[in-house]
Amino acid sequence: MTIPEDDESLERELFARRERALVSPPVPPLEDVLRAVSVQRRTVSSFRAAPASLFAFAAFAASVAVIAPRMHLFTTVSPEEAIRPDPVMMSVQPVAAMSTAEQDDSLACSLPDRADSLAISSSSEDPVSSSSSCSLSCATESP
Amino acid sequence: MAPTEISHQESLLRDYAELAPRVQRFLRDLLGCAVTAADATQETFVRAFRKVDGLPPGTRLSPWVFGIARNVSLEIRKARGRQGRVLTPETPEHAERIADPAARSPETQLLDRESLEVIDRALDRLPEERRAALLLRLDHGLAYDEIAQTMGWTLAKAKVEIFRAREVLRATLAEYRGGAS
Repeated sequence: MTIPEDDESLERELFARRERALVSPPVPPLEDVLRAVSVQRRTVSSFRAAPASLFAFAAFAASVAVIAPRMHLFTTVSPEEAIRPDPVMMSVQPVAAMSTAEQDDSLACSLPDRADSLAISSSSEDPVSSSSSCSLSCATESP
Repeated sequence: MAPTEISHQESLLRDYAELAPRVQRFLRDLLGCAVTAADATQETFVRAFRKVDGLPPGTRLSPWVFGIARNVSLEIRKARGRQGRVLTPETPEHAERIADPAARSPETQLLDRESLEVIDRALDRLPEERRAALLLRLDHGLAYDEIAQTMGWTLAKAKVEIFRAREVLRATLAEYRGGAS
């Protein structure tokens, strides 16, 4: 194989030879391409021209599907279930006290058995400024 | 628009016969499969004809169409990946890829086959992006700024990527030279 010294001309020559060596398979006929374009345009325009009521119904159905479970529209709850405490709340175990970051001296969390409220309080004593405290409380309503 | 100026749509219709085989070869080189490349070529031009009239005046069509082709190839590769199928590149020995030898002299046939082997070996060593950039530059003659536009790169990045790809091509050629001597 004769290799020209100049890389650029060599590369171009190689690609030209490669193109000659390759079969050129038939490309899709232009008519097929244009037919596919017109079919896509018809599909898009018919979709756009669909009755507005169809979209309104679809939107309504989607809304019902999303909202109904949250509103318990299609579920029945027995009185016993209604008064049963939330399992998530029940899984929280009472914590007497735990230490936290340097700034805080204490963090207390208490949850009385079967109570509906959760209270977290913390206080810190700063030698420079006066002591500060914060608290967070959470309560659920009993039925 | 001046009365003599033709629209992008008319330009694309006029250039289809020349441009489509190049786009199909580009897609075959990216996808490694002639059948998939033919489908991808049709999809490329369907998209091109749908959007061509929205192009700003003076836009060169071929870089724009190659850009669409590359996006189509990426979508196909992604879809194949999701389906758990991998495109298997054809080998140079694949009989259907080699043009009818009767039309050329034995020496030309040999040179052409060697070129095919060397370039395919180099392309196999390149990541997809770099391969696309090299093909656009050396096989399809796009300028650096057109390649940058097609690939969504800066001009500097396009130059660097093509430089790196050409290094691989030259290394492959050097190996071939060493093997041939």
